[in-house]
Amino acid sequence: MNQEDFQSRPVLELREKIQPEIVELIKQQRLNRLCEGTCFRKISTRRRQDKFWYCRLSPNHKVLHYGDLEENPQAEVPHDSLQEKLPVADIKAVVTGKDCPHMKEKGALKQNKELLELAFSLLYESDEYLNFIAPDKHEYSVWMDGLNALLGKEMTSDLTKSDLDTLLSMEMKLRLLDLENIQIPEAPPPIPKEPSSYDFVYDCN
Amino acid sequence: MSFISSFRGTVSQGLVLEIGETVQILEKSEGWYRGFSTKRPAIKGIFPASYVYLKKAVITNRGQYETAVPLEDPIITEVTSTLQEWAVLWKQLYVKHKVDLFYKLRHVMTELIDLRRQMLSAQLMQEQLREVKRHITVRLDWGNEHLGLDLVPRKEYVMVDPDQFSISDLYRMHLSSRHSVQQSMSQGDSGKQRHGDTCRGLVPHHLFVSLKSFTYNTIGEDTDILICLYDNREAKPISEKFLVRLNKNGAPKNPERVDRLCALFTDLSNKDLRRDLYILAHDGAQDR
Repeated sequence: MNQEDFQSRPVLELREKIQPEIVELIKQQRLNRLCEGTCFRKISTRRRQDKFWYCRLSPNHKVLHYGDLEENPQAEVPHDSLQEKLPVADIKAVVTGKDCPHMKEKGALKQNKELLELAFSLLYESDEYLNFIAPDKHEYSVWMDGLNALLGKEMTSDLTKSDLDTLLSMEMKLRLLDLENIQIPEAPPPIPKEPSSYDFVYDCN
Repeated sequence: MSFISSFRGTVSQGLVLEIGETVQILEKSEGWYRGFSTKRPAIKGIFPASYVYLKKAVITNRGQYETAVPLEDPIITEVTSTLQEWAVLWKQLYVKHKVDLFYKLRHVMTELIDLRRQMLSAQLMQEQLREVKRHITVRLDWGNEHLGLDLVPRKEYVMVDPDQFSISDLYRMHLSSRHSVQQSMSQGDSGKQRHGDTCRGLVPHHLFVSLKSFTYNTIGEDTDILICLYDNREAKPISEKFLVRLNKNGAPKNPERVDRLCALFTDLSNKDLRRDLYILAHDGAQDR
């Protein structure tokens, strides 16, 4: 089996068939990451010291718990330090970048393209927002995927694409291990006529 | 025995098969085979002969319950089954976000797939073949160790049947596998890793305990004493308990059964010996 055989129709079909299982794995991973939670930075226009807040998903995936922290936590954040909560069912929409209220309000921030790419907000009630600025691009993707998964939407980040490729290409290689050095046909061979009788013969050779 | 295209089982009694699956053929008729996928041996059905690439195999237990083992180097078979076993755990590493091991294992799996391909395709010289086998087994042992799986005893790189060797032979094989894993690791990695490995040394120790007499100020009635190994730092027992029955004088209840007063704590690792270890005697009724 050669590299170009990975393009043949039977192989592409198998790839398509496995894909949903792999997407499910990515979804589980993202939700696990949200359950671990992330420490977010608060930005203020005044040049005060950075303040932190922490947000994580409850193990049953129904509530987001969050609360302020004095400093960037080194160990796991105890449950009672996160007093606020937002039920996932109350989330109406996720907005990103310049659509976020905290990116509109603070005029000075508009210039900062880096922050725009890390900002997202959750709309709940009719005009209440929970505003986030992810610590980096990777964490941003994890949260966007996780929130999309929670809300039953497709995960669209580049991170999902690259994870999918990593997992799927390994899975394909393993499924096709026994086809090493065997020519795979371009298209499935024709299926023979249905056997006239089901008297199959045991053949020792 | 290998499936080269997907078959949706469109005829009656048809067996649904994916490309790459391995099938065992039981019977044949007019361009069709009847058999099963080795992944699901319980489900039997028919599939077109043109979809199957035949491989040589050794059949044992001929007849209704025969099993076929592909005629190939046993290392190839081992790599195939090991990779399939690892794949499940590898995906769990991803879900649990164990990033470091996830990427290391992916690298080793890719190397194994390439080495396996080399063994299958190229016309290797005897010497090269040995070298490829050595590379393969070092990687298999590395992965099994890091995934917490059993180390495979092997001789001349080939897995052996544990039932055909004595315990001490198996032990020596394990030791040499470990040596080669450690050597290959210490070549590439830092000293820190080597240190970590020695901490988890496999060399087991045994502790033999024989109770001669037992006194305690409140003994005045028959008592059951439970004895176990206890780690004072972690404040928990690390062994099973063994029971001694004493009479009211603190002497064994059945003095004629001396063997009842002895216990052997087996397979203590170096790590266990480095614990803050105590032998704890525990009254059956209350803590003392």
